[in-house]
Amino acid sequence: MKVQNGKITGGYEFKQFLGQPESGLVVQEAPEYLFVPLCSASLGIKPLVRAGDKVKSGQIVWQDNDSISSPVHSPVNGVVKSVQKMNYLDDEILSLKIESASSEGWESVPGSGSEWNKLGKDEIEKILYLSGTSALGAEGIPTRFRTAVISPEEVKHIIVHYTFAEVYNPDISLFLDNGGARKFTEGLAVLAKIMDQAEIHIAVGINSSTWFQVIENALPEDLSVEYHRVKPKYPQNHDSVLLKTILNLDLPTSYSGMNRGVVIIGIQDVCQVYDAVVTGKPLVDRIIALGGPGFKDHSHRQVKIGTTVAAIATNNLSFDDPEDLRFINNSVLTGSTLSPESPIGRNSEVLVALEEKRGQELMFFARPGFGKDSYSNTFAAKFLPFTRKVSTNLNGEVRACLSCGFCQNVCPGGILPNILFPYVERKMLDETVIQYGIFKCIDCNLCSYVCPSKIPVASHLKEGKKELLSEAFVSEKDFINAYNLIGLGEATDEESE
Amino acid sequence: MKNQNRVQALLHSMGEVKSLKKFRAIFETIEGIIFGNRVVTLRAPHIKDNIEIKRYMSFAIIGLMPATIAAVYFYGLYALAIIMTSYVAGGLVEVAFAILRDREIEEGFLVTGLIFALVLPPTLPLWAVAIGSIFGTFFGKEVFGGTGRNIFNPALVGRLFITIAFPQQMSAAWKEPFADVISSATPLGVFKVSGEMSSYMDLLLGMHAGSMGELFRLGIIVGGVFLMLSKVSNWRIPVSYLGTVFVLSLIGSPFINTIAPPIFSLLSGGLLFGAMFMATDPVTGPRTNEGKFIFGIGCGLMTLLIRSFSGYTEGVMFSIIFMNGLNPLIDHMVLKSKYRNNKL
Repeated sequence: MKVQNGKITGGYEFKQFLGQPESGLVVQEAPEYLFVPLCSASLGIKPLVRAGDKVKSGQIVWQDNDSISSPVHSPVNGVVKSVQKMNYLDDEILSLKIESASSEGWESVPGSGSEWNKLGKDEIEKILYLSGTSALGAEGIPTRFRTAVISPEEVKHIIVHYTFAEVYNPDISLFLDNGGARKFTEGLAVLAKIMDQAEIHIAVGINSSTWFQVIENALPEDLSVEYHRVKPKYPQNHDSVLLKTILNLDLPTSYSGMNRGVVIIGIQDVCQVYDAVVTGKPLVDRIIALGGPGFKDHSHRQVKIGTTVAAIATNNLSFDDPEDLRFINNSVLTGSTLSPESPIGRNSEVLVALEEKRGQELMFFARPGFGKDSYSNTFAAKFLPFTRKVSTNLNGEVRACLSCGFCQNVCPGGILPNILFPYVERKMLDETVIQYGIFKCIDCNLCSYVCPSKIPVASHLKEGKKELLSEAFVSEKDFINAYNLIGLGEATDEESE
Repeated sequence: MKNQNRVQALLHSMGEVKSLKKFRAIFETIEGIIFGNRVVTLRAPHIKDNIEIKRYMSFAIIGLMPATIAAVYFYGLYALAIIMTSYVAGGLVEVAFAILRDREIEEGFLVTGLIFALVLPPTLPLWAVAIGSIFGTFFGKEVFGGTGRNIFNPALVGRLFITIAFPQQMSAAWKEPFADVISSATPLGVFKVSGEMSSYMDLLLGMHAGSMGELFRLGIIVGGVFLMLSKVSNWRIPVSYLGTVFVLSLIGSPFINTIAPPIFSLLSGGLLFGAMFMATDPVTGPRTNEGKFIFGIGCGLMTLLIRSFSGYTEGVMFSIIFMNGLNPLIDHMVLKSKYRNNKL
């Protein structure tokens, strides 16, 4: 077994934050009502069912063969109450309100079985598509059914990662222990079969030697993978950092690994691939890690897709008034805020509850700071093994930039945010800003996190990039040519036809 | 908690009273100091680092404490009077501008006011201290728009002004610690005239005449290293500044007798204080890491040139101010060469 060590430029390790997910797993009963996200409302594609229809668990309720998408299933047996628009992950989406009667069982995906090895590529891809599994991973799993921007033949690498880079990370022992590794590696074998040009890489951020051994022991003989020990530093989990660390490929701004022929996928997703192909289970539930001091019990939850945040949080909050809390999807650094009515979607993995703290302690700046995280070494917590408190407070007042240099030292893109953001603020956007590397910014938001002056540096950079694109200083074509991006040009051509 | 809310509400509402509206900045500052911020993040990143400017500046003050305490220990209450005068005079300017701009008082002044006092001779009349502090704060900082926007180190602008305006008080009235007699020469002055050097131990402990904060060098080193380790000051500048002086004097002193030997060069005058606390001012230093090295090397070179070949005995102040002015150019050149091949 060969293990490579991955390097990251900049970055920051979020250690010992209060409210870490714990390893237990609780299977949560389906609540009375579920809200199943279907698609962006602007897409305007109607579901296959109407209000009043009876649905079965695992029945396909939404499907579209023209757009890049995968079918959506009813997660429970029940009745469709309504089709409605709702705000979800900063987008307006179409969703299905389903009244749950029972959550027992599911309609098995046709063609699945333990003899999958005898199936052709097309048949496996069809199972992944019909089970909704192809929607997993940041950008989907490529199949011949337009489930991702590229086709399976174009995939050169598959990166399975468990980087432990976020503030709150799920526990992979749930997926790999107790024979889980067997399912995981078989899931990998399925992916290797449909993307037969691809090399498989596994990147792990903590206890990597142990996990590599567990995976290696379960690995089928004809499957070879490369192991990568990475630092549990944020933003190691972002596409461009993974590509740089593992494959030494450059990826600008917010383009995805897919645009360079790399499928990036999580451990849970690979296990679902196994479930779909071998046991015929459609994508009807997810295992969610609960993080943040807002929750009392931090065990993982196995929930039906469409379960609301409120249903998960009931009787599990450390605050009386849910108004004092903020729920966040997946990442505290980049995730969207979820309202209590928001559902758990197919790509949710972590649910975080943080206190909306409107006020600091008396003379906060003069305290030793036993529970305070900081990039600087000015708080006692840095040198002591205490857990670190966390809230949504700005932790200080907005001031002018001092050029302290914290942002450039943590920047994973190797650029100088403190030099770039004033250009955006003063609306002096031109080629200079592009030359100084504004498009190497990957929107990880780490510069905004470390800023002592509480300047929203990352928002400025994001705005600057948007402005430069809309004013045609650069176009998508430039990126395609400079970085050999794929899966972009064709899409726009077809739209114009 | 209840009382806290009441006091906080009172402070907040005082700023809203019509007759007091002008002074809102002051009430907000007090509220900010005592209670901190009530604002939460709006979007991702949902959390923020605990470091903020008050903490940042408090650490700079802590780093300056050994030098400050030594100054008060050496020169008694008069040193304290100089520090207080510097704070009050400069503070008035700061408050006036805060009210004028209707913005909170900026914390940077706490550091500037102290640094300015510490680079003064211990015999300077208090009126001169006040003039220097006011001039430095006004022309060194406020005219540019306040902390974070100034080009030159405000403490040095103030000192430069009174050095030129009151040369008699500034250069002829040195005093050794604990002594009542006025002596007229610092170790650098003595070296320049006669080539004699004080012992390194005297220099480390500050047993000689000089500006009141630059003397206790052991404490300055401790404070400076503390700041670098806490990431409040950037190690690149002191290392390259002191390194340049060391290397150049090592090479030059055997051949040119006006260049002092390396250890004496490092331990005399305001070099350690300047390199640790003034050249490291992030606002008036270069913004690029590579630029910080160039800045430090430039400061070192200038210091040595002025000390060895000009009419002045000490060149730290001039060299830092001079290099402050070059910063935009340094950064520009660093950026242009660093990103010369970058198109996207």
